[in-house]
Amino acid sequence: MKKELSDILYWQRRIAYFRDEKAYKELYFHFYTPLHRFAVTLLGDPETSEELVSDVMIRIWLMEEKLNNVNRLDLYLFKSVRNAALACINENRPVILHTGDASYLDRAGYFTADSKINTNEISSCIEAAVKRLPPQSRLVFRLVKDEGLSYKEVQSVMGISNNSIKTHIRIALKRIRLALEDFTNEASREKIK
Amino acid sequence: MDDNTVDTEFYDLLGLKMAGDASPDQLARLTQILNEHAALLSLYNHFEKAGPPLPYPGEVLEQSYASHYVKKKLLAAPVQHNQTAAGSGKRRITGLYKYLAIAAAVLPVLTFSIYYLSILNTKPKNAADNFKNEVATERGSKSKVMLPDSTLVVLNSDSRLTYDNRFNRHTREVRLTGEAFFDVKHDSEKPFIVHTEKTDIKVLGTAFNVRNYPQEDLMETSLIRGKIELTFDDEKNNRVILNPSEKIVISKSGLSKTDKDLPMSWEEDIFKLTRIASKDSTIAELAWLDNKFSFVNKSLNQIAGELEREFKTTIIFGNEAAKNYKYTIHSDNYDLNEIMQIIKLSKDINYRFISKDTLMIE
Repeated sequence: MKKELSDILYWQRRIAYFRDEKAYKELYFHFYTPLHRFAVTLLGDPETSEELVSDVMIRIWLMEEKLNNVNRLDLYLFKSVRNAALACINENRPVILHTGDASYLDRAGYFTADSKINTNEISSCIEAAVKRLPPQSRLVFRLVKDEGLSYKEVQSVMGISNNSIKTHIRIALKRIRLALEDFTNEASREKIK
Repeated sequence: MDDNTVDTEFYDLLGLKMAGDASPDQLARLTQILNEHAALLSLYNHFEKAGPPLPYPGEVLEQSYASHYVKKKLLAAPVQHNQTAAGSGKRRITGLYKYLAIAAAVLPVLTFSIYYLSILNTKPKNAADNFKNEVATERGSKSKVMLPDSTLVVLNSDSRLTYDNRFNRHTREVRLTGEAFFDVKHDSEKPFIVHTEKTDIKVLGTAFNVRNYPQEDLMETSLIRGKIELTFDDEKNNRVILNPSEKIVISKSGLSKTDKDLPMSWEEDIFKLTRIASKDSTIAELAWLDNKFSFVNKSLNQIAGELEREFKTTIIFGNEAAKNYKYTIHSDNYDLNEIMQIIKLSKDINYRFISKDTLMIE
């Protein structure tokens, strides 16, 4: 999912100086998937997440030349989505879990941890484990595993220290591993029966 | 080294590897751990094989962008009027609304304004008419409104939207004459319903365009995002569900003629389910939001009707046959002369102004 930073910077300049609709569209297409995935991790509901990402992207357009002051647009976007999602949760809005037609999320490897492996059961077992993680760990894990952000980048998006990231990753991997072992044990017990 | 320490080291290294932060030494150490501890292998293999998830499919991105594009237009560029809206004091509310809507982050103010303005705008009361609050535009003007539930509505010229005090209590019901674009705030508890004289359009949270001018026989509903359900005002309670990018065109006169005892006939002349006509990033059905014109295979008669509304002009046909000429036109310029020039270029017609606001086509 990573894109050359120079491409992102190019879009950023085109949008800021020339109000370039085409560059904006490319930026939107590039970031929609990771940002939406990230928002769903926090909010659970694909529709609210879509609205949220759309709002964040509109702000990028409305910044006009000020957009050039943004240092790393990719991290800025993740950060904005995170803040907006947290604000949304604080409004005490009920979090709706997966309503509507969100089958594309499955196809995009969202609800199942990966679509390339066809051992769907293992995937959904892992996915369930990820969903049960504490929110912070879940977010850090998604950013690292799904979006391939470096620890430094995650630090900037989440506003937490390197050590906290380490801890979150440990928690996440440990719980996933336990869930996986439970699953395999269960499966072999079934076989014996 | 006890297992617990190895586990922790393994988690740290795997984390660094996924993040792309691991040094060659760390990667070597990771391989070493995996060789010595088979129990850790299944977790590692899983992540190795899985890789990062795929981006969403193109049509999902396209669809999301289409609705985003509309929202961006609404927020970034206030609807502009190339022609100053003259008219009586009562009717000048449209311009006022424009500013209110822009400043309308403050919802209570807006709610109050709508109510206040509706008093100004009171019509002779009809006992059956509970739709007290009214937003109306005259010919040549458009208006953007935020309803009390944060739904955004853009009214095209010569259109009227009404709703009553019960709006947003259990349901959100409005009545529409003319054309409007709705970006409905998602709220599954309170269905949003648009009443027109022949159909009810029920939505949960979605963006769509309704065109229902009394002067035109055809009523059009185009869906940009979400799902909507049309119910017809007949005894059978016929209904149609629209999926994104679909558009339904209904002949109102055809609908009235339908024999109520027979099953609803799905003939071409009454219903037509089509796709939204999109060209690049513009969508023909929504061109009016941008003060652009986009007609896809429309008769000159239909186009004239549109131009009359937009430019507060009367268009007379000196040549009846010309009414049925079909055109497909995209114009970014909000200028009557320019559009007439395009029309003139493609078929052998002529036009002239016989007075300041009357145009003759021959």
